[in-house]
Amino acid sequence: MSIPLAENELRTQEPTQTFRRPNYDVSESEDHYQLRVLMPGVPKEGVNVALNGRHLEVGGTRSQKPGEDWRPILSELNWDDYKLNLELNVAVNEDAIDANVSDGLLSLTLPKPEEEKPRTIPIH
Amino acid sequence: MTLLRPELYRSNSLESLLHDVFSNGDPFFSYRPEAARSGFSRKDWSKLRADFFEGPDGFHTVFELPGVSKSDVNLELENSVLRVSGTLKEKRGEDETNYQFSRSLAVPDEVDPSKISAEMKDGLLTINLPKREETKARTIEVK
Repeated sequence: MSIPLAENELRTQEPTQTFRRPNYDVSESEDHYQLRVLMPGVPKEGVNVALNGRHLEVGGTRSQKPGEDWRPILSELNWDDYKLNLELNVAVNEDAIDANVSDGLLSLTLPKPEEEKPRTIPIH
Repeated sequence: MTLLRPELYRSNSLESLLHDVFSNGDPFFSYRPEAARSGFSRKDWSKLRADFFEGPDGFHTVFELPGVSKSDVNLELENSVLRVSGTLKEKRGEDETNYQFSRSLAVPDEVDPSKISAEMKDGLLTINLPKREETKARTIEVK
C-alpha cells in the first residue's frame, strides 16, 4: 500500500506525545535492590520494563482517561502516560529481575549478583 | 539572613532527592540512607492530589492513591462535605509503616447525595456525584 506524500508530511507534523516522569524510590537490602515506581491509573498490562545494557526503561500506559464530555473545574493531575529512564550504576543479576504491579504501584526486585552479597568469613 | 546547609535542608524529602538524582544524569542507586528509609515520605502523602470535573449528568472527582488498596480507603459524607481518608501501608521487609491521608471537598448543591458512587482501580479513586434530576440542564421549548 502506498501512502500519498501529503499524508506522510502531515503525520510528521503531529505533536509528539509527552510523558509524565513518575515518582520512584530505590532501596537496598542485603541481597537485592528494590525500585518502586508510582504509576496511578496504569494496570498490570500497561506496564513495560526493558533493560538494555545498563539502561533501564519503565513505561506505563493508562487504561482510564477522564470522560470526553467532562469539563475540568480543578486540575491537579497529569494524565500523560509514564516514562522513566534510569542508568544502572550497581551490579544486579539481570536474569532474576522480578516485577510486580498492584494498585498503580510497580515494585521491581533486582537481586544482587552472588559475588556482591555479604559473606561471613569463618575464622579457623 | 538565614544560612541553610543544603544537605541538611534537603534531607528526608523525596522530591529533593529526586531533584538531585535528575541533575546527576539519573543513576539508579544513590547512597542516601535517610531517603531510603523515608520511602515516599510522609510529606508526599499529605498532599492528596485530585481532579474535579463537571459532566452533563453530574460531577466526577479522581484521586491518585497509588499503592493503596481498596479496603484501606474510607469515604464519608457529612453536611455536604465529602471526606476521603485512608491509610497507606508501606511494607519493607519485616517493617510496616502506615501513613494516614485525608482530603475533604464540598459537594455542590445540585448533587443527589443518595446517588454518589465510587470506584477504585489501579491506584485511582473515581467518585461520581450525579446531579438531581430537577437541576440537570434541559432545553425549554418556546411556544
